[in-house]
Amino acid sequence: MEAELKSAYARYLLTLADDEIVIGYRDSEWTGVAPVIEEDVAFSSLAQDEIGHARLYYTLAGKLLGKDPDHLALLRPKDGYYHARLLEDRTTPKYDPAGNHQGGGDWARAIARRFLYDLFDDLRVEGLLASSDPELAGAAEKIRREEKYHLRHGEAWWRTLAEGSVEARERLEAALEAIWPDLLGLFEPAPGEEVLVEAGLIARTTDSLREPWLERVYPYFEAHALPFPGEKAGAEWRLRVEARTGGRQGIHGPGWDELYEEMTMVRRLEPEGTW
Amino acid sequence: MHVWEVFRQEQEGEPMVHVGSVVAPDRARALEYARDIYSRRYEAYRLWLVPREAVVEVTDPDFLQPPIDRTYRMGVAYRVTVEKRRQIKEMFEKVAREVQGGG
Amino acid sequence: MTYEERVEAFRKRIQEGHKVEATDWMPDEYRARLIKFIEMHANSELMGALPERDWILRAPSLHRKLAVTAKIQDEVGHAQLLYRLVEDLGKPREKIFEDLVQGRTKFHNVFHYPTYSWGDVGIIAWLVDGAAVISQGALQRSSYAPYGRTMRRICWEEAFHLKHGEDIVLTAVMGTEKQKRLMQEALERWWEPLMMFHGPPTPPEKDKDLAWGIKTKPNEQLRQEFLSTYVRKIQEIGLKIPDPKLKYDSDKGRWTYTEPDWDKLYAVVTGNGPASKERLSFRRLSLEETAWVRRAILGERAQAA
Repeated sequence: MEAELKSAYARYLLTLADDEIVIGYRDSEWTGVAPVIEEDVAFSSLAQDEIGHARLYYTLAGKLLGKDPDHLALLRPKDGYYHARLLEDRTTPKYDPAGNHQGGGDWARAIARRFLYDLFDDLRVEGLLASSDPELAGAAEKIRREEKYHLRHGEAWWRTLAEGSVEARERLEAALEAIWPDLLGLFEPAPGEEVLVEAGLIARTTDSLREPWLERVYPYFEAHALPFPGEKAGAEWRLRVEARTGGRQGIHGPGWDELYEEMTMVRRLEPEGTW
Repeated sequence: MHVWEVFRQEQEGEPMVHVGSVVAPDRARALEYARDIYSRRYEAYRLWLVPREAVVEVTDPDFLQPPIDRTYRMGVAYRVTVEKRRQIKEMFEKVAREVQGGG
Repeated sequence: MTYEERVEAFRKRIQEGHKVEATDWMPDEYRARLIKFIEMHANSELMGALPERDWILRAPSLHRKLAVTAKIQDEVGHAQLLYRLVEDLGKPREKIFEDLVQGRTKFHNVFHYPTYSWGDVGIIAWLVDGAAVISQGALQRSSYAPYGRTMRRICWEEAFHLKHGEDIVLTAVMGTEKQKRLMQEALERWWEPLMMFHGPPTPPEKDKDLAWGIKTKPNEQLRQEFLSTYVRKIQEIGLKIPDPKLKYDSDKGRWTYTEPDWDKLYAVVTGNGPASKERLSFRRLSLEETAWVRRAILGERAQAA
């Protein structure tokens, strides 16, 4: 593989992996504090799936970069992670050993984020099934077989929040309003994606997934008369929200500062050690 | 006629195990038939009858046996601890020999 | 038959080794004791998720991250299994959680302590879970059959926890001085709570839970089994147990050790442990913040009905 292609491919794989690991880390925090204990267990399974997927992608990236997956997952500089900003914020309360816990746990946000991200990821992974890299195609095929249950879980909760009570619906609407700019930030492409499409490694660039994603998510809003920040004008969607981007360039917010600090804390004690 | 799935507890304290089903026009006769078919010889401590339509079946292999590795959550993935213990023991023995040799 | 005669007949059946199912008749006292005993066990599984939960994000490799997440998922899963038993015995879940956060019900002493380092993660998974498996193994023969069967599943899953915890400890002990120190320091922090884990050496004849066959082995016997299983394994890898009096007395065929301060244990489990208040206030916070979700589920169920 020539250098330019190889570098673009590695960057794309890291982007996939970073998205998955970051949402996996954030969702794993619901263990022990979810609304019903059955859901603690269910959310943990989702989180483990995502970390497992990240591990597959990091392994592929590691082969290109000559690094082991743990290094890629835990030992890169803070601005060297390329996940979408949507995924990095904490949605759970945070424990403080002195008892000054931080509240702000938001199940509606956790559900809305996960479901709408999963719908995006499903389209993205679909575009990897026919990759010219058989290892990526193989990984995508397995990942898809797990993700279909995530969508099922998300759909059920979407309905509960939209229809279960006035209060739940208000919370869902508030969460959606807050995350729209970051949802659109999902479609910020990684550098060099066109090269990957040309080489047949991926079927579609990330920004080209925006229209199909809007087509796919709109019915979920329409079915429950949830506010949608835009409408279709002819063949095109006109949205009243601006995307908040930067994630794919390594630009992140305070949610990432917090998560990065936590996730690398132990490993940094002995970065090259065996743990 | 209704189909009732029959579960049997063969020993006190053991779980209920599915043994088969009976067809009966009503509950009273379902109980009767289940006893006569599944416990004619003192085999049952307890029977459960569940209307077949109440059973929710799940067989989807991707759901039950997901394709991506989960051995990290099984004891067998940690057999390596035996080897690690052996290495630690060896390390201590080596140190002990060195101390003795040096002293 | 009078109520008293019925109770006597029940007691006799239990003593003969018969098992009780959820739908069987049982004396009020037996039911109340079961609820109290299993509820404390369930609370412990749930509250036990909190000290370890902080380390889910901090695990130092992808494998450890997956394993720690799965391990804590199992603990909450165990809470689910046990709370279901309590619910079937007649106590609704909302009431269970209310009693828990109000401090009216208890959870195990070891979950009232803070965690400081990755060392705690290894020591908890290996030794705290190890101590728990000693108790839970004996509970497989509980007179209450649904509890005994639940213990079979729990013990099977705990086998992974122990191995995974032991692997964390062994890996660190084989690592750098800094890594090894994490484990030694954690062992020093956890030894006292571990020695208290199985409770004071109550004379078996005074232990009502034993009399009802809810549990099957006296506290001191469980502690002795724990020591017989783990002391050598700990010492073999160069970790030092912080009790100068700990030794096996081969004449008496038992371990002798520094007597734990049982008043301190009582204080800890009644909500005055080093992290009791913080853990309970966190549990309360998370319950409050998610109350609307439970109301929404009920709302949806009402619509569907």
